[in-house]
Amino acid sequence: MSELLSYLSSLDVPDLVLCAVAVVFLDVFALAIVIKASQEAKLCRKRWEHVSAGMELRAGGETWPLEADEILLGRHVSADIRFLDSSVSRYHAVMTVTGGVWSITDLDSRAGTFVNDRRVKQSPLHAGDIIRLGGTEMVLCPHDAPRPGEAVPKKKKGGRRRV
Amino acid sequence: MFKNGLSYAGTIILLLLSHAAMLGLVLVRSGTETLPLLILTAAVLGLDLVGIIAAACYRQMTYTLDLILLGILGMSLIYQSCFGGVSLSVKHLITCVTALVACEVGFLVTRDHDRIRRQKKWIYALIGVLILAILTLTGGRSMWINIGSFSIQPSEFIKPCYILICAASIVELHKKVKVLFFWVSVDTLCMCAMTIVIFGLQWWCRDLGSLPTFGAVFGCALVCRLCYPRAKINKPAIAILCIGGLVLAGAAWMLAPPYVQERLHVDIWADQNGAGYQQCQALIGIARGGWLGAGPGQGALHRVFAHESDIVFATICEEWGLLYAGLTVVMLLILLTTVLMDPPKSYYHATMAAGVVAVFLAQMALNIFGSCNLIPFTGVTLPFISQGGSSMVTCGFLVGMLKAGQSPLFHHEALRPPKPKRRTDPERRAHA
Repeated sequence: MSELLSYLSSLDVPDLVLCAVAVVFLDVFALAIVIKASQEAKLCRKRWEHVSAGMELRAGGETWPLEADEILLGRHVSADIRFLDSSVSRYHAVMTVTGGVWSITDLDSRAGTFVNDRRVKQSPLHAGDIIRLGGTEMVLCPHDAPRPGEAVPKKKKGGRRRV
Repeated sequence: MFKNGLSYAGTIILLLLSHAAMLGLVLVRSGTETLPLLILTAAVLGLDLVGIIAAACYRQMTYTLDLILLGILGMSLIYQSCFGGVSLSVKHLITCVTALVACEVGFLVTRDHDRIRRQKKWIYALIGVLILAILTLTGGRSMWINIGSFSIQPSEFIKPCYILICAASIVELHKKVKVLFFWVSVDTLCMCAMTIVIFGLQWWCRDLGSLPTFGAVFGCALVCRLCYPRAKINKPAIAILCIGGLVLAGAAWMLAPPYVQERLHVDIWADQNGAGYQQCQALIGIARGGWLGAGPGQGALHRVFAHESDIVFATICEEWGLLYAGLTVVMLLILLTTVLMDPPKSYYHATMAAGVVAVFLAQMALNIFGSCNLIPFTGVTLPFISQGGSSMVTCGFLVGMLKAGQSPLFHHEALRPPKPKRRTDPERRAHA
């Protein structure tokens, strides 16, 4: 082993070649890491869809995807989903998610938080639930659900024909 | 291990090969004896394997940060062992292992953002203890505690704690209480008070090099506070913040004590043997190294004070060349950009990640630009590359915090099923 190392160290290889080889290895490692990180990001996105059940809020023509595990609803400029309705408090309610189930918690708002016309302090939410903050109404639904007025995509016929 | 653990095999092999290529370069270009090199090889590859096994012990969504960290630590160990001759730097090896442990600790502690949020009072208490330790144990206006031959810098440990309280204050933003006529956020007030205390302490201890780092974290927290939570930039507020920052920086520049003024206005070439000695030597070293470097262990900067910490970038440039030094910086930047590829899904982790990135970028800029005389010399360490136990442990913990944002635990107290009430005896009888 030591003879091999001595032989290698005695080789008269140009510095440029040696450095190029070492740099190329490091570059390839860095590139591999970047590619791996981008692949993993896709996996993490899928995991997030599983955690958040791919839900979104819809009101009128507007849609808000729920892209964090805590969504602040209110009139304040810093709210995640901001409503310019004076009946909505500045910090009105907060939505949280775990294990694919969303829930809403009222932050002691003046007008209250209603889920399916029932005033709640804290309540789990399900797809299709109508949430009302003051005078603003919105619906929680999966992001692939058809919008009102949108045609429901027909299931394609195919596969094995029954005889 | 994570179910796609085998898919990392190729990346792990590339990691080992890149370190082996560096060691090959040391073998041929340094003309060293074989025994020290064999010891160094065993240490570097052993560190890689230990790191991989340690990371595999915990189920994570992604292991890319672990691999980049191992890549940087291996490079760092090789650099530090080659300054002034090839010989394994045992001290640096120990700090590298400690950094790996700190990384795992940081990951486990901050993974569950609900839990760490609930325990913020303990974080405030920890900062208080660290400040007390600085005031009582350092002996004068210093940041260092000397225990025998070891020196600890407690102010380094304040950095992750400060990031955690900044993140907590952002998340608790909507919880306000009425004081007289104003609605105020108690967490934001506590964060601002803690910021004033930390800045005052740094000023009093004359450790002005760390001030920009804390300032960067505070700036990030303020930007997150103003743009909370998503990138709906509040332009007027940001403009006011920038103007305020510039005014403060200008005031600090004007009111700085004489010894700082001396550093700010020093002409290094006119005072080559005095205040400008380190920077002059660093610049000469960078020029001597050129693109490919003089060869590992063949430089002259190892005779200069703080060559392994404050001007480590120049020392690497001299021995390994600007190409390798640049690649080291690229590796550090890749470590930070992984956060952008997969942004954290909770505000706590997102704010935390912003703070960690701010710390790393500020330290890198201060060290590299300071070595190149582009800014005044501050004596801040280059993350993971410079020697120093406190700095390495803190950096390891910070990377653990980044990892936590990539592989978080989503739990919410609100949704946990309530504990069943214990039935009283009459109820039990009635039920029976």
